[in-house]
Amino acid sequence: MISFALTEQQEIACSVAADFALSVLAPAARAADEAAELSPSIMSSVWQLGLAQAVADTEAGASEQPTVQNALLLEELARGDSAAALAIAAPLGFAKAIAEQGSERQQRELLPLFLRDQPHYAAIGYVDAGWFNGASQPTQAVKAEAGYRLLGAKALVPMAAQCSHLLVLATCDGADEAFIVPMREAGVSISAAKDTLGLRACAMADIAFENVFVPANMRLGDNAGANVQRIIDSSRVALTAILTGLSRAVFDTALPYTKERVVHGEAIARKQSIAFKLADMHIALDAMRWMGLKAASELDAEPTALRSARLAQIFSTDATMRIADEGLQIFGGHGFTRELPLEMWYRNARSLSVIDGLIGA
Amino acid sequence: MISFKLTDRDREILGEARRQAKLAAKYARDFENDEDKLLPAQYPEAEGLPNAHAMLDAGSDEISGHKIINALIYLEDWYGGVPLREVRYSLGNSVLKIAGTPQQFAHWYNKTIAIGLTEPVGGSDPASTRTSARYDPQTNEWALNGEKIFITYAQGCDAVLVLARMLHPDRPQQLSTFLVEKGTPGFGVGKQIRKMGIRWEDTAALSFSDCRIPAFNHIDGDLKKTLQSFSESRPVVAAYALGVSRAALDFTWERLREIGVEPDYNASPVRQPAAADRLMHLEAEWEATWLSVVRAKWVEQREGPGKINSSVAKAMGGQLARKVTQACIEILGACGLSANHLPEKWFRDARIFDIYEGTAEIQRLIIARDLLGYTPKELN
Repeated sequence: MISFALTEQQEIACSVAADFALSVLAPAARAADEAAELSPSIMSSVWQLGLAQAVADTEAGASEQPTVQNALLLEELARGDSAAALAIAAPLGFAKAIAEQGSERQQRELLPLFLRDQPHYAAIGYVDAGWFNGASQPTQAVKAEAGYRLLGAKALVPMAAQCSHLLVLATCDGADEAFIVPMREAGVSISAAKDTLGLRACAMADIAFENVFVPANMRLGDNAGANVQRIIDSSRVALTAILTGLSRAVFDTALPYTKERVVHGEAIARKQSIAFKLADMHIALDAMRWMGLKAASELDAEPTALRSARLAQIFSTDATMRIADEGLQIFGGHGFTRELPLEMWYRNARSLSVIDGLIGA
Repeated sequence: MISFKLTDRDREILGEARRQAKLAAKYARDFENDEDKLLPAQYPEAEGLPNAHAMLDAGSDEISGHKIINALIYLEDWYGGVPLREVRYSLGNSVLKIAGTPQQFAHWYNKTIAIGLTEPVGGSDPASTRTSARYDPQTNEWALNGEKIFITYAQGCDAVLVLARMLHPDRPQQLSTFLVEKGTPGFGVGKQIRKMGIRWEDTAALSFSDCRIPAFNHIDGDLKKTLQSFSESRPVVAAYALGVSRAALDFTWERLREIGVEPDYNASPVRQPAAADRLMHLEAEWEATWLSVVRAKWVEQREGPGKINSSVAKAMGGQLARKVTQACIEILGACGLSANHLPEKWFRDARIFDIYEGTAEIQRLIIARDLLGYTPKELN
């Protein structure tokens, strides 16, 4: 039966996350972007919210719709700082993949890492590194004695230098597989953190694999293998949620400004061109939220949400770019300077809208 | 708990509606060269088949809600090009319920009532209404004078609810609504308007020339409330837009499939065939529009017509239909122009959705005013 009603638990969780995002993350976002670093104390506070722990703790009863809940929380966090949201969503996605699809031994060895007091980083490598998405050689695994050999490179892993593991999505004999790779393994090399257009605080780097040996029991799910599409779909749900939060930040900042900014003797909000921009922003923002939550609810009910998750990603990437673009325009020249967050949001919007994988909800 | 799953009964009703829409497709072109023809009450193929709206009203098993499923049935009705049986979404009747007295509603509830708002000078602006209603104290009647255009159900309706300016010593120049029945002297219906699309729809002008109606026919409800109730029809129009868009998309995907082009949900933009990429973007917009319609009706079911949800749905649907039908013809290429197939008709039909029942611009004005807390005077 169709329902748009959040549960009370979901509403409360959102409220807590929103409070945190606006009072802690938002004021720190500009400094983190300039320094290209997320403050450890802030990430520690983000960690205390318990997103990764909730999926890693397989003993505790899961909430009714864990993916929906995480999507809601990531949206709230992204209102404060989408880079911080991405940074927490990466270990969240990794832990979720292990908790849902890991072998008993993989769960035993890895999940406790995410139950610690301090942040523990990991991520999901999906998009291959190399100059151009379509031209690069896809990362491949070939069967070897007692395991596999991994060759290739994954792009733009957030907090790469601090990740203990990467869940590498690669093909093996034409099939999609997921391999748990410790960053200390021989043959793994992490590039220097790249200067990127946006999400600078995430210190993203490429991770290359030069015939890295992966024991058979470190194939996600071991003999059973894994549903890799589910992991990809989860990342798209998470990205949609973060894009939604970013869009909300733009909208919530632009709207009151238009009522105060006086041009030609009246508030610019009274001019149709501006008012219509706001109306279109609202329409798109509402829409992308429900697209994302629909895909999230499907992942909570089904093994995959291929079409819904991809369409939610397509919609939210297009819409967020437009919202950030028009948001910056509303502020005129001020929107272009680094004194206001609009230009940062514009860069983050473009960045979030071209990545894939990396995280989960 | 959030869920977008249709119930079994939802599926049964909508499945039946889709089936019947496909049966109607053979009649889709019957009005293209003959606009004076009116839709029959039902086509022969409807005989013996359950009416989806009646199935909904039967209210037996679990459904997602009457208003939601009602809107989604209309989506299906528009999928085929013409409806297999004529079901008039009679906004006039819902308005009468809200604005009329119980006696007035009891008197006309089973009549089809059209809405007469638009005038030659003044489409989107009710304040510019020139049609007048002069009160005659000697006969206790109102005499209407004026013209209305683009009126849906003009010919087929039993009565029309007319927006007119009162000429009454106690209510000078105020707008109000009046119910005029067919056959009332002085009430004329013009010829069917020549339209680019939706040619099966009954659209004509109305004229009032000293058209006298009894005082009982003055529907003197709160006008603001009356105009607000129009918001109920907006998501339904967006549902029509979804139906036409769905038909256009399905047709185009089928042609692409025939040449081996399928959507690849995991392909990067550089690996996706351009046509598939474009259609996938439109599919995303289609899904988003569907959600906006369903949400508007879900909220309406729980709380009554909301302030802007319905305008959001209408704005999305109107824009969607334009983009989808334009893109589909582009992708289909020259063959898409042919009147031997339906895409060119859908292209012509779809263009109205961003115009009637409140233009794209009016919806955005309504939304923006609400977001900004502005009166119509402050933002117009």
